[in-house]
Amino acid sequence: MKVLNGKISGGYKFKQFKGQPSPKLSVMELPKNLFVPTGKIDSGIKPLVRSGDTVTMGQIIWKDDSSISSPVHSPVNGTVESIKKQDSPNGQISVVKISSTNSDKFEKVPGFTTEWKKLSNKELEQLVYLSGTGSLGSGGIPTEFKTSVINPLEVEHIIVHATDAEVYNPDISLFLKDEGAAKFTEGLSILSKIMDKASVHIAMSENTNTWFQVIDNTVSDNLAISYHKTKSKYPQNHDSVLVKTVLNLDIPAGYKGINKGVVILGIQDVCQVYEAVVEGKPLIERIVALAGPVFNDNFHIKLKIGTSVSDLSAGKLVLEDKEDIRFITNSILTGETINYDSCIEKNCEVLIALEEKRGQDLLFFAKPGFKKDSYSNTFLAKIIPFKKDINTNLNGEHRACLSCGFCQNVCPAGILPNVLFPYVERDRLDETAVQYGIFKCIDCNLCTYVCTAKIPIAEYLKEGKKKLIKDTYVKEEDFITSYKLIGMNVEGGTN
Amino acid sequence: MKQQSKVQTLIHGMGEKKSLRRFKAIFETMEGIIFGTSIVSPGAPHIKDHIEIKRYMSFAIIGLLPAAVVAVYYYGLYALAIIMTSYVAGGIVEVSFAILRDREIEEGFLVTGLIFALVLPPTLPLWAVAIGSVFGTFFGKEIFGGTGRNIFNPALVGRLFITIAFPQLMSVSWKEPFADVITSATPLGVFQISGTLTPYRELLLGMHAGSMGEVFSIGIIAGGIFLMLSKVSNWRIPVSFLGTVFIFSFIGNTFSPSIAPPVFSILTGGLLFGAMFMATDPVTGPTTKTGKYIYGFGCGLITFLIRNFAGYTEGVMFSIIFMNGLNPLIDHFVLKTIYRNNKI
Repeated sequence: MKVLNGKISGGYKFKQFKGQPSPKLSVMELPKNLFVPTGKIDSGIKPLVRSGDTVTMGQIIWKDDSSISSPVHSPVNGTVESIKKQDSPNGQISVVKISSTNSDKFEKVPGFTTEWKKLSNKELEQLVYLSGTGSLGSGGIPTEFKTSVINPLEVEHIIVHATDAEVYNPDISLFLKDEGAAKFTEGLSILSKIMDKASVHIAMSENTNTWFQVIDNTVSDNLAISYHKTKSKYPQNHDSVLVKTVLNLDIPAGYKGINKGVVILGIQDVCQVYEAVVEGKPLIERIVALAGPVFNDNFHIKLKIGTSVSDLSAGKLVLEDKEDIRFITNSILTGETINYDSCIEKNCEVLIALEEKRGQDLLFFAKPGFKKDSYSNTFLAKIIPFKKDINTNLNGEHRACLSCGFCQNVCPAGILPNVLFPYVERDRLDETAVQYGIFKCIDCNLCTYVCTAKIPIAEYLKEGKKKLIKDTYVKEEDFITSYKLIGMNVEGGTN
Repeated sequence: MKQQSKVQTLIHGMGEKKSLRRFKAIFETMEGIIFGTSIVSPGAPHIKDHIEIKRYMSFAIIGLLPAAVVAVYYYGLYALAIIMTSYVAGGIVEVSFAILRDREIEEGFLVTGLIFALVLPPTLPLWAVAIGSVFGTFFGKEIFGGTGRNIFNPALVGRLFITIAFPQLMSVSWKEPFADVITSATPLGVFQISGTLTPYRELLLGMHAGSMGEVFSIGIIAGGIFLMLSKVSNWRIPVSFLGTVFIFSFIGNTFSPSIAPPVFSILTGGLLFGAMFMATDPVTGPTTKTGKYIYGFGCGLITFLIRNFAGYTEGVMFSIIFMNGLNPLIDHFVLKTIYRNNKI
């Protein structure tokens, strides 16, 4: 087994924050009501069920064969209560509310088998499609059934990663221990059979790469995997950075890995492909890491897709004395804030709860800072390994840019954020900003994190890119899915 | 707002009062200093680094402390009086502008006030200190819009002004540590007149005449390294600045003994202080990495030329001010060069 060392330029290592999820797994009790997000309303495709209908666990309740999407299943046995419109980052979607009943009925994906090697590629792809797992990963898993923007045979590389780049990362030992590794590699074999021409890569950080040997021991067949040891620096997990590290390929601005024939998946995603094809399980459950010091206990929980945050945080899960809590999905740096009424979606791997700290911190700038994280070396936390505090406070006041250069040093795209943002702030956008590489920005938000003057640099750059496209300084055709991509959304995969 | 103490509510309330409305900026500053901010991040990224300008500037002051403390030790309470005068005079300008603009008092002043005092001769009359501090803060910073928008280093603008306005005071106010006698010769001056080199031990410990914060070389080096290690200042500028002076002095000295030798050049005058604390000012220096090397090189070259070939004995101040003015141009050309191949 050969392990390659991956490089990253810039970036920042978030380490030792309070509230890291432990590798403990519990299964959540069935909530009374679930809110299952389905497709966009403007696609014209309505849910296959109506209010009052009885649904079975695993039954397809939404499906669109005409556009890039994956079917949505009922996560529980129960009755459809209502179908409502809801705003989402992709536009308005309809959300199916299901009240659950206790029952063991389970409608499995038709055609699943342990003898999947005997299936034709088309049959395998159909299993992936019908199970809903085709929507996983950064741009979906390509099949013949329009689960992604490209076809399976156009895929050149599959990258599975556990890069530990975020502040909070799911613990992959949950998926790989015991039988897990064998299931995982079998999942990989399935994907490799579907995407026949693709080479398979696994990228893991310094902390997780001990699993390479475990995985390698379970590999059967002729599955050739190349292993990459990456730095656990943010934003190693972003498409363009990951592809650059693993394949040394440049992904142009506005593109995702998938647009260049690279399928990027997480460990759990591959395991779920295995479960779908071999065990017939549709995508109705997800293991989610509960992270952040606001949770009473940080562990992983297996829950139904569509579980609302309020149900999840009910009981003793969240500290009671913290009234002001922000829930964030997946990433603290780029993730979205979700409120109590929102539900856990199928791409959720980490749910973070942070305190909205509006309180005082007496003479904060003069304290030694044993628990304060900073890119600069101005706090004792840099030398003393205490667990670091984390909350949503700005930790300082807005000021004019000092040109301290921190944003340049951490920028993974190698651009100069402090030179670029004034073009947007002062409304002087022209081709100079394009020449200076504003479109190389990958929206990782790291510049805003490190900014000494608390300037929302990344926000300015995002706005600038939109304006430049609108004012036709750059052609929209240059950006495969237009500036929607800049809003971090993919036109494939997630429906 | 929850979790607010009575004191905070009081201070906050004072700023909101109609009669005190004019001074809102001051109360806001007090609130900011004592209690920190109550603002939370509006969205992604949901968390923020703990570094902010107060911490940043506090570190710059810590870096200056060895030089400042030794200045007071060497030159007595009068040195302290100079520092206080510089702070009070510049502070009045800063606060008036904060009130005028209705914006919080900016922290950069805390560093400027100290740096300005430390580059002055130890016997300069206090009225001259006050004039320099006011001039520097006003014309060096406030007219550009405050910290972060100024083109020239405000402390140097102040010093340049009094050097030109009161040349007599600025050239005969030197004094050796613990001495009562006023001399007119700094080691650089002595070298230019008689070619005598002051011993390195005295230069390192600061036992010679010079600006009060610039004599104690060991403390300046320690403070400068501390700032570089804490990432508050960037190592590129001091390294290229000092390196340029070293190399040119080495070459020059090899060919002509009238040119000061390299180590002597680095340890005398305001070079170390200027390279460690003034050229590294991020606001008035270039932002690109290549630009930083060019800037340091320019500072070093001009310092070398003025010291050895011009009428002034010391050239650090002029070199940094000159390069401050050039820095937008340096950045511009560096950016155009780096990105020349990018298609538009």
